[in-house]
Amino acid sequence: MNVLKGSFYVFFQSYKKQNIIFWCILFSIVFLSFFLDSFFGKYISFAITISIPVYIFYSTMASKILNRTMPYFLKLGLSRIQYVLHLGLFFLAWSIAGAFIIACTHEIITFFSELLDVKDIIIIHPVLLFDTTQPFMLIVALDFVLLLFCLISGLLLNVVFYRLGTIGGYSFIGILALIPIVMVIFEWYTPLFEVLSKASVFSILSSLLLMTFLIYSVITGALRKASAIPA
Amino acid sequence: MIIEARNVSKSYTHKQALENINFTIEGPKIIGFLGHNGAGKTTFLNMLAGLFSATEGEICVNGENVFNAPHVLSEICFVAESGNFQDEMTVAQSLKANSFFYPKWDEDFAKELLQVFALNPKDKVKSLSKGMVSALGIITGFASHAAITIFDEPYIGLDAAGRNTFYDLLIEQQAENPRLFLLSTHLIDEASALFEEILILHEGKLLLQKDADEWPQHVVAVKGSPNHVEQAIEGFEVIYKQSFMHEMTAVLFTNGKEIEAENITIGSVSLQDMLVYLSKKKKVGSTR
Amino acid sequence: MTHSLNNEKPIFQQIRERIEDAILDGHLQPEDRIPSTNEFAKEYQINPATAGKGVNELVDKGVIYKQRGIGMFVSPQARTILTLERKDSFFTQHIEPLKKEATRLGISDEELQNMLQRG
Repeated sequence: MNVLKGSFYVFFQSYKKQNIIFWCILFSIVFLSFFLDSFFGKYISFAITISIPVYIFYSTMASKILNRTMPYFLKLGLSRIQYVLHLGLFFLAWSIAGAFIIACTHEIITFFSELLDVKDIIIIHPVLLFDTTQPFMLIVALDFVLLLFCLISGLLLNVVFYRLGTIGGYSFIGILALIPIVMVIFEWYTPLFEVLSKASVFSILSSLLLMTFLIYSVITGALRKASAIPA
Repeated sequence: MIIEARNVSKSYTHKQALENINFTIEGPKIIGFLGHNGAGKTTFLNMLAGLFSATEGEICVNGENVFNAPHVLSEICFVAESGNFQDEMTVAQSLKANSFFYPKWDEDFAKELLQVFALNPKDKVKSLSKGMVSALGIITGFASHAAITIFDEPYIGLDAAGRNTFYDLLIEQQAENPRLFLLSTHLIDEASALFEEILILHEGKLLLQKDADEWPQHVVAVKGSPNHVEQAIEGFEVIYKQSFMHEMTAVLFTNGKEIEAENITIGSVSLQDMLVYLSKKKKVGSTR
Repeated sequence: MTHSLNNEKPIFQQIRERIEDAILDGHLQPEDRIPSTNEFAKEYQINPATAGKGVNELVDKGVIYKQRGIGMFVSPQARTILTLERKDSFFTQHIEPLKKEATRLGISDEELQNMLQRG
């Protein structure tokens, strides 16, 4: 238990500064857009996005986390399984926090735009695909799953680079880039989009969660005997 | 605490770092883990700390393989040459983090040592000088109270006064609460009097393991005229041989045997000199 | 440092000799307290166990004695024990090398005796 607390302490302290900087920049941009919108909204309409930068930020953070923290934790005496477990729990907490911040920001912006009677402000968020009324809990749930997915995908990329080195890592990216091309050639995209457009928000969320869990299992397997020194 | 290396080998893609290492060490004791650059010291210490696994064989502490074994590893504190801390964390945070992972962490002692080494707890690790990071590593090593504490080149960037403080701490700690200290260093002259036992790695192999007390009898320099020296050293393992002005010097292992010969002088060889001779031997070997 | 140890002999032996010399020179009198093992270790920057080994040899010989919880002291008969022991080794350690060097330099026994009387 003490070790888990310690891991959280280290993750938190190591990523505190980056998080603070990121959210400060994001909020100032949002605030600026909102400000501009409330003055010039009569002439042009503004679109604000909060969640998408967060997805990108989380992915980039996760794509470097292994190199930054794994050697350190192994030196402190964690087993690799413990490390992956603690990292997974930290990712859960981090995504929940991110999801709440995003949803609250949405609420605040909506509240102020109604208060100041700014009508034509649009907040771009994936939830619009499913529900235009943007219920709070749906935003939280959607963002939680998406952020977790971003973190795990970033981590997967890091694991590939960590285990296989630069050449292996870029080959992996190359193979990933091939998938859409193959999809176009074999016209897999039509049935895929059909399924996606028909599916409910919950089936999409649960399949994303399942995928996240599968990737996490692969990562656990890949790191079970990993060296503290990247390939 | 017993550390056992059983047929440990480690090979990387292009080279063999360690070859069939076997030894047992038992503490509390201060052990010198020596060898010149590339001898495989750091590779071995990394494996002892569980950072990667051996290609063959195993390293056991109290009979248990250390790889992926948290309850064994919590008894081991490994202070490496670099990369012991998170750049974004402050000195105080780094020490606090340690307290979660080392069950016997001594917080008061850590605070006291911060003052001894004049570190500012609010400084970020990435803003520290090399010597200050080394000092933080030394503090971690001592305050961890880990039964096995490994210092791999712990004082890079520290001045003579800082190193002296380190030696004093080592002596004090060994007297007050003895542990198994493994010290790997290049400043052998300074540290040699601290070792109770010495292990020397040479080109990935264990060259010797000796009690410090046995050292002067075990490794000797024979001097005299070439004929006499050649006669005297016959049958011994010679590490180094050199002639100058019709006087020959040969450094050899006695393995407990007496050297019986006339007209020669037998002197002792310091640890530092021994390692220099070893590296010369290596060069001679490679040009052949 | 003037008191630094060398590597010609095992360190514990050098520690033992330091104490012996101090007793023979009269710096340490019978019943004087001797520094603890740890004090020796710190002073010479050596391993505490090594220092202990040197001190214990003197305890075994009866040159110093331990009093539980108080410390170690020079025993009354210390000087006598050490003088006897040193006389034994005087011949091998000093006379033999002296003769050897004299032969090398071609100094006759007579000359050597004269020198000894002068010195």
